[in-house]
Amino acid sequence: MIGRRSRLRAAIVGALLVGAVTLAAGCGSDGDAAFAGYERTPTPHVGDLTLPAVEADGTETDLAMKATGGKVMLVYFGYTNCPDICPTTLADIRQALGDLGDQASDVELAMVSIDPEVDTPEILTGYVRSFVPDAKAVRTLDDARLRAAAEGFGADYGHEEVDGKPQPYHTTSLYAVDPEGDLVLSWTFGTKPDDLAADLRTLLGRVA
Amino acid sequence: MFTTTRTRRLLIGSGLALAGLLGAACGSDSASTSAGTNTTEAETAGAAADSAGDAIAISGAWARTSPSEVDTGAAYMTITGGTDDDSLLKVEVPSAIAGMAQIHEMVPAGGGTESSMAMGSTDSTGGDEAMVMQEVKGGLEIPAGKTVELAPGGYHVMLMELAAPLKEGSTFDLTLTFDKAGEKTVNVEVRTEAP
Ligand SMILES: [Cu+2]
Repeated sequence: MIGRRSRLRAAIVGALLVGAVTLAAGCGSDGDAAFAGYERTPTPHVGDLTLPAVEADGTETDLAMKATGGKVMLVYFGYTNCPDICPTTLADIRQALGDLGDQASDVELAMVSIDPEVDTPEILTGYVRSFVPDAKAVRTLDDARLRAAAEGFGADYGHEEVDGKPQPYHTTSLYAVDPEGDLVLSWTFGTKPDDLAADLRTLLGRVA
Repeated sequence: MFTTTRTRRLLIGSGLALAGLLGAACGSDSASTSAGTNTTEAETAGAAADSAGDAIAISGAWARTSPSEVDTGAAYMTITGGTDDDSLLKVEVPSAIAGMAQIHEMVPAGGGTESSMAMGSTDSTGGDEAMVMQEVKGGLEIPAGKTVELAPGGYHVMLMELAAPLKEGSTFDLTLTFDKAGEKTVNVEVRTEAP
């Protein structure tokens, strides 16, 4: 119980810190604090990483972690048997893309499964495309490859024993990658769809 | 609820009371970083008055539509405590909807901070923490007069072994059992987006 509480406290303090940083940016009097998401220094370069994009029939095509020219690619590390964080984020993305209208076609989405044993190609493609129809489903059973890609994004994942059963855990951020393969923006969980949309508009303006 | 743009921008894990932080970080008023729990002072004076001021009140119950590929779902709601401290002991769902319901919460994965730092996540925002889902054991505390949000990223009612995907526009009942207030039935609206 104490352990759980202190972990919870750590989470809350962490969230408040993020909030403070975001807020400081938001209410600062100068600077280019136009984003709801956050930029990292130095900007991580992920464009040299590739992971297999799968189709429902199991066909794999290597996908480089960079957007097509003139576009922005969203990358999300999650799993399908995730009832709270993942569908919330994917539904928020769907809503943000709706806000973007015609510009939504310049936003690519790749969901990377961190639970690939359970997330078969059929399940993963069906799941992510129920939110965003042209999304890429990314899956590999090669854990070293998945781990290396996640590290490039600063993302963590794995399974942890909860009540005697292995429960997947994962970093809940959403990442934006530009055509150069630079991880230009990250959003913490809970960023509102209209803020996501506004950030995407700005990013699309930069890559156009 | 949290409706100002600024507040919405800040809402990291919903249910966390960041309203106090807003004032603090902008220096507009005294620091009230109530980093305590997922409860906030009852902002629901109106609602409390409506319900005679005594009873536990449950509002805004909804569940997200579930993709057909999975058999789990989540339901959310706002629970406002009554005169006495109480706790939500269990949630039951009709078998026509799901095999089981549990109260769950998202917590940082064990050592998540250390491992993400070890992995070279150099930013110090803390936003990259890995999270894991676990059951709330021993009941979810509903302090007197406080509002507890079951919202994405915080607490949820986990629905397991869904009989069928949750479809937009449908509704179902959940039966909540409180330690003191007893059983309360709440009607849940299935939606693609949060209300
Ligand atoms: Cu759950």
